[in-house]
Amino acid sequence: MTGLIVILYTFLGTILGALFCLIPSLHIYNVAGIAVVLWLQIRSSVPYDAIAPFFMAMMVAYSFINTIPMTFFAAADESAGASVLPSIDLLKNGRGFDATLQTGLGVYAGCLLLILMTPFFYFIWTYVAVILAPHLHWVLGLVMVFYVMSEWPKGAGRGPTPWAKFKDSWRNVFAGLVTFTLSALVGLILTTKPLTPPEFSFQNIMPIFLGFFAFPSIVQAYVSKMKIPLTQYRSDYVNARWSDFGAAALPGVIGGLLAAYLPAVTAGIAAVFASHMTNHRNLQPVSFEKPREPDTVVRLVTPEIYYQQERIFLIGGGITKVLYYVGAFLLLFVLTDLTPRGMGRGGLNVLLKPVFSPEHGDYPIMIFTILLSGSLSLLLLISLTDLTLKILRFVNLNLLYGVVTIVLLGIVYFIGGGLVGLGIAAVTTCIGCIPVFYNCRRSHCMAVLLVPIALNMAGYGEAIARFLRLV
Amino acid sequence: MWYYFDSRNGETRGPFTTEEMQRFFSSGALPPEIPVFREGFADWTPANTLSEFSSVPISTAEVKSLQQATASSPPSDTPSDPLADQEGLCPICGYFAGALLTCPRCGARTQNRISVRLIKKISVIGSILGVLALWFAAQAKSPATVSIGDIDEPMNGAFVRIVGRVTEIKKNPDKNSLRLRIDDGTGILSVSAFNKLKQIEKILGDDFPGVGDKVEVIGTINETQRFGVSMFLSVPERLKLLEKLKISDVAIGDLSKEMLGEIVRLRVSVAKYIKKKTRRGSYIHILTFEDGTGSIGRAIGERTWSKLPPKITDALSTEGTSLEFEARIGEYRGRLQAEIVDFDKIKILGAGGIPHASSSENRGTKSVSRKSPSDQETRQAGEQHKEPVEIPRKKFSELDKKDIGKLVSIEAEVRFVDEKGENVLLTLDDGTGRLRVMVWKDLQPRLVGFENVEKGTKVSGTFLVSEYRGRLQLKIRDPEVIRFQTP
Repeated sequence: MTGLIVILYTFLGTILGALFCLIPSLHIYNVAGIAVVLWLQIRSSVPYDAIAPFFMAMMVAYSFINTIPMTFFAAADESAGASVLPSIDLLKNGRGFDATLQTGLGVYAGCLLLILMTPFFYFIWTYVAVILAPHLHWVLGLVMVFYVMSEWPKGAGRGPTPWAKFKDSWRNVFAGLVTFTLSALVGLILTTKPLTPPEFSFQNIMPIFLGFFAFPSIVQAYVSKMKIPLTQYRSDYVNARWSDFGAAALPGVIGGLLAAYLPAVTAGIAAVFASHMTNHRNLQPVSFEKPREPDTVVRLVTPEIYYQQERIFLIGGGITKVLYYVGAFLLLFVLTDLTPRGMGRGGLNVLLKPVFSPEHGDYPIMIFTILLSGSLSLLLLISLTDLTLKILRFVNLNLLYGVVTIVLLGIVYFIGGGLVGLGIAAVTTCIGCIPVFYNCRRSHCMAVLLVPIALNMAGYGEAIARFLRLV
Repeated sequence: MWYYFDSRNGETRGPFTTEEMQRFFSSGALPPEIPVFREGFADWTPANTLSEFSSVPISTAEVKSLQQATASSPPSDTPSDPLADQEGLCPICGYFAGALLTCPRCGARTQNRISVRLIKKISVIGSILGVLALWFAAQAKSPATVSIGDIDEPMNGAFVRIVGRVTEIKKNPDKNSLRLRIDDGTGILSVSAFNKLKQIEKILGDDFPGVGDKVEVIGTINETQRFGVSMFLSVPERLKLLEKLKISDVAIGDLSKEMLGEIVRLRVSVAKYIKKKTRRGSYIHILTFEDGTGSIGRAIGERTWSKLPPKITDALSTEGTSLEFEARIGEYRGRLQAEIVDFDKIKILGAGGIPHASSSENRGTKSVSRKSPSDQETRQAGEQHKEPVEIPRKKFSELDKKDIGKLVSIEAEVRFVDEKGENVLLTLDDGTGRLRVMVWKDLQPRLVGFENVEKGTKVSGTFLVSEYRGRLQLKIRDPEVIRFQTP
């Protein structure tokens, strides 16, 4: 690859990724899918060497800039499962900028950790991957069991009658099980016999995920009428300590690696694992002194008392997110004798598979891209967050959600399969609304991929196809 | 900390502090006789029997009227309350209840413009009905029939039906896997079935396809930049034999260049066997077969030879052994070759001479031997096949990026031979320009004349124009139609 092409398309990918990621509920895989379609039309004019740095830069930019709609417009994607609650909590207390910056710094720390983990990927992780490969269906089964069981009623329910206690205990868990089961059924049906027309097939998963996550988010945001406090504080320093980064690194790396390597396991699910494994508790509250006067239009708020756990969740969530999105793509470039085709996972690898294959020598270029794009994205994050704070008071959220809905419906129709895609999105939206309105984990919707992949790996895909009479 | 039981919806709420509970009672959000509980209590106790709450002065009647007001009226009709006008906020305690129907703190009914209860019902009913609808739609769906040549990158993951003729079958009984290559006249598709060979053999029985048979396969397209288009066969029933290839018995003397690509049955004896070492250090096994009307040759690379069963290699390497096999008629250096299509189907008739095969004048009606899959006659109407197109002969200078994905016929000379591990990168020059072609290791044994390739080797055949790192290059789609001739 020529250096100029790498630098130019890294910049381009970062800028375009950042701009598109500001749109609430628009996932980077949707943007990447549109970019692949466009690239196929103009590929005679665009150098082949541009693909990898462009898409890598987009993923990096998304990991950073997505924090803004996630925090300010309640448009969190599944990967933000660990950090969305502290973000919203801080936003309501006028600390949206802090939440964004801490997550962003976590993402940057994750970028640096990715680079430092290069020897680990080449000399340890390849062996782990090869050893685990024949047994992945067991691992995924374990993931599913743990995920469902970890939402199990903890202790007895409360109520004066046995029925009241039973109901109290099982309400949320039952909703989670229903979501899991329905999502799994959708996944089994659509992987055995896809309904999408052939010409839309490479984005056949898009209507499913938009239905599970994007549209219910919009419905929830519209129904809940959450008011973003207009008084937002913009600090000149980071309300975090170096020890927070150290404490967040372990759960962040564990969660990110699990999500990057295991198929169909997203950062949200992996973050639950990681937090259980590292067992963070509510640590000692720390109060901050009154900060200096800000130089923005917002008024100063009273000092808040931060719990270290919130900061760890935010920073760790950022690390997990970047290791998941960027790490999953980066692993594609780890070409060794044991992994001659790399270890890439994730939606971007599936999208790029028909048009791109990594070569030896691409890995260092990807490291450079991550570093360059990460640095640029962090600066963009700060600037765009400032801009968001300024325009927050003028944004009509109802109008914004309406526009986003129309954009997403258009994407589903024109790229995701036409009317069939809209039908699939409608069904998955109904399923995706169950966890939102019945207060269980939205990650249960990932059963749409987890269950079919695990069953196929275990060799039961055909049996399921026969059982469902889809042969 | 306190808990209370809300009998209106059968839910337990809490924990709350004593002060919060007192506020609920004083504001009328909770009736005073509501059951409450805290740690240390043996059972639920009416609040107004406890000293903490017994002094709260509000009557049940007032509470009921307030509850009815919050339950049934739109926000503008609730009792005057500064909090009641703010959507999402509890009209009693001011807590942000968001999309919830009742306040999670005090249990008062919240007001929303859109009925959340309705959304919840729609989501559950819609989910169940929607999944059923998807299931019925999937059952009823017939996959679209596409031509291999029409498959492009956006169709990755498409669930389609392909009809074509089998050009190659590889069975691996140890791994219980099967691989087919299917040619529908517009391109070649590799179909793999992992851990399914025994099932397929059991289900298809005598209808198990052989080389040259017309088959239908339904599955999901998997396209990668490096390996092209392939399909995974996950359900054995999705492979169907449509038409068996009729193979005729032909004498060697009746073979001609017009029969190039045809599959015929030969009954021959091994006239000559030579094991020769190539310049690369591997071996090549050169066989000459005869049947009394003529002789025909065949070279088998060491990689293929080493995978043959010992009884087959013994038979082939023993001069005088009589054999019967199906072979595709090919050409090498202007001479006809018999390319054995399925070594597993070789019949060893015996050692020594053979009953001499008669020429066509002495036989009965000679059944028409169908041509191999690359012939235009295999493209039948009735399915959505494209009419075969002439593969144009092109010079390298005439190729540009618009030709990417198209088959072209070329004649060129090898300029450079670069070994990339076990693969070989050839640079070809046709006098008007240069293009490269990567010969992957698994293709090498199937390329006629490749074992002796060197600078100056003439190359002719049909290649696929593709692109690699921004530059045009050639790709081998069908090794059988490519020839290397070393002077």
